[in-house]
Amino acid sequence: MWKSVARHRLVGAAILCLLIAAGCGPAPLGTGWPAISLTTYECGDQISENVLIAYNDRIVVVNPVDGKARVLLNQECSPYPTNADGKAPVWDFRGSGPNLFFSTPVKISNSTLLAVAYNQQLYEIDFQTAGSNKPIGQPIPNLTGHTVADVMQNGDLLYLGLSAKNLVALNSDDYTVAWTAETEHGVWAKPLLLDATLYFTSLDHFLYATDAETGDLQWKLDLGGALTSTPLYDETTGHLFIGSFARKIFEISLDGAIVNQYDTADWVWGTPAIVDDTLYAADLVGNVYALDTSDNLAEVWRQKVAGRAIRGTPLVTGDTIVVAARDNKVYWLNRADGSILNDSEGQPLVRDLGAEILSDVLLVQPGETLDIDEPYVIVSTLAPDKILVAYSLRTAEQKWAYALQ
Amino acid sequence: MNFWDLILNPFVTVITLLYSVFGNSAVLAIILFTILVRLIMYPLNAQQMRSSKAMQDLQPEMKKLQDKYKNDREKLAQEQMRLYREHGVNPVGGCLPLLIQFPIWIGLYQAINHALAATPLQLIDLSGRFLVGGLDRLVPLNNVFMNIDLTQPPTANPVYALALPVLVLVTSWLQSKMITPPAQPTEDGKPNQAQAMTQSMTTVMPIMMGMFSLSFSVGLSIYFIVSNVISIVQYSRQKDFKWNKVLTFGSGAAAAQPAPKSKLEAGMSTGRLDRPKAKKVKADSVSLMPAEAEADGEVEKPPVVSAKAETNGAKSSAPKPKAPRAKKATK
Repeated sequence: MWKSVARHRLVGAAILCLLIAAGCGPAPLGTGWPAISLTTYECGDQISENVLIAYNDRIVVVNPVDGKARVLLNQECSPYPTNADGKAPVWDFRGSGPNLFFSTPVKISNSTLLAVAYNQQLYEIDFQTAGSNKPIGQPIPNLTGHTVADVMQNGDLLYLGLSAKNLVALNSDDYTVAWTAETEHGVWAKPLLLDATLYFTSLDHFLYATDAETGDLQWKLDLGGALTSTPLYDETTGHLFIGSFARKIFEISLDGAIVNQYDTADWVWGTPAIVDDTLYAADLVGNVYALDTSDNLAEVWRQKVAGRAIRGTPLVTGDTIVVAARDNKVYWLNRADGSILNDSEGQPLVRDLGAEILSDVLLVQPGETLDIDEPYVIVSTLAPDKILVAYSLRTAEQKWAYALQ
Repeated sequence: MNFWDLILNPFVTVITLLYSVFGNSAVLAIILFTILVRLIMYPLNAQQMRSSKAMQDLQPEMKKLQDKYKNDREKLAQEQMRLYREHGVNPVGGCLPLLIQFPIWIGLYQAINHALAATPLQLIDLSGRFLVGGLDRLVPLNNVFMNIDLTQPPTANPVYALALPVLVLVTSWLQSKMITPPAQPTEDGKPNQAQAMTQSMTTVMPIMMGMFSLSFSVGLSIYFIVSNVISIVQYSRQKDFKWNKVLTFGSGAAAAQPAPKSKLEAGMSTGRLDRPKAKKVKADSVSLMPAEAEADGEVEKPPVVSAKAETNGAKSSAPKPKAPRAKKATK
């Protein structure tokens, strides 16, 4: 009996240890989502379109035509010979140590990418060799805080939002700090540059406008909730548009006054999209909104689309809107009313990838440098085995999937 | 909504409410929330402590039964059950409160992580967790205290933040020392392996906790420290608790422990075992009474540890051993 009790206690202790390990352990590497973007690269007379993925400690480049990793090119812009296994070296950059890439690498010249890791390590990456031009893990001098936001380049300055309550401008030649604009909380989104003024948001609820050259504050506006996205500028109205954690979408004049606002059901994380005087945005409980920017943000339609958060910007093209959600699904919506489109057999155009989707949706169009016969929609999940999946924009047929090896 | 959301959402809501009531201080919110949860769990915790203490107190009797019926497992099981029954002890009584508390501990831990929301995924996960309207405007919580970023580990903070893992280690050690009975050798003088292992855990676990704290966020270190301090206060309020028992090291630790008396002679000191019913033991119910023990050729012996302590010259409050074997051990 006693031994039995002891044994039960031992088993209980083991279960508790397992639970502690599973439930209380530090957050796993995947504390963000893949940052994906499109970029071109010229090598000799060849121009290639590429999908860049930055996730965890990896940055890889994928061919949007077939979803295969880009093969490295030699000085003559020809692929390197294959090894004994018949494999050619592919574009795959790894940060040193536990560096996480939350932000998209920015192209600072035709042959150089700049990537900033969460722990603020800078990497200049040579596009041809996928190697770092400078010592790996070069820190930004005299700065603290983490990097979630994308970097933006403007001439000799690079702008970088930091969790250490500021936005910094770095000299692009040596990465020294040119100026710093202080905020009350972290800056998690890339700034918007417009006529020598930088507009950027902070988790401190404020939208800031600063001089892009000096960093001098022009105005700041409290929007009542955390801000995680880059403001969108609409040329027609001449106003800025942004969603916030105050469960609102704001229309703001360039001198810092709220012109209109619209109440949403939940937080709005991503930047809205505006096409033909209609603003499209989504919230973190899966609603999609269409608002009339020519009529004081009057509601055109509002649809509950997904079961969980839609974080990214809705992809609006032609008569279709594509949104990807944290409920693992990609939805094709009718732009006229937000309803889910059906295929030729009457089946809803919804694709379940079996893994959460938090990244933005990319659209690649056929062109001289892209040998595809129709536009592709590219989505990225949190599962490394489906890090990228391409669908036909028109039929939602899967074209290819790329797994992070 | 899954099981964890049922725990997490109210926790995150309360932490954020406390944060808003107490001057937007995340540290104060964590401290008060930890105290609040521990107060709510106090009845469970007290029951677990009583049960654990009662089991400890029964050990001398249990050991005698094991020795007596070492060749008859069935009889041993029967006698052990009878012993438990007579003393009103449930052998797994300490496990149930522990199991109930465990999801709450994890919820507490995760709630702090979520509320501080250091990473994009944590922040996105915070959406929809508030059960009270108007808390959205507080997000994200101000997570800097004395220039320490509560969402980052101590190593990514000013050097004085390293005091926190040290405090985690010290308070964890103190807490484990308080709840772990000192190792006592078996009657044949050999070290009791199970107890020795438990003892070693009192050293290993705090070191592990200290190491974990180096990589966990500072906010969680604060939670660990507050939680440990509450446990220490709880244990120190037990009737027969003595600080010198805890703060004695090595073999002296065992020596500092008073020699356990048979509960049949001395009665139980705490919990259910304090009840008069627990003392009502029939003389012939268990073969532990001196007469029967003598008849069996056995003499009730005080623990060898007391004698050992004398050998070591350690000061002890334990009574001097009288049993022949114990005396022999001192020679």
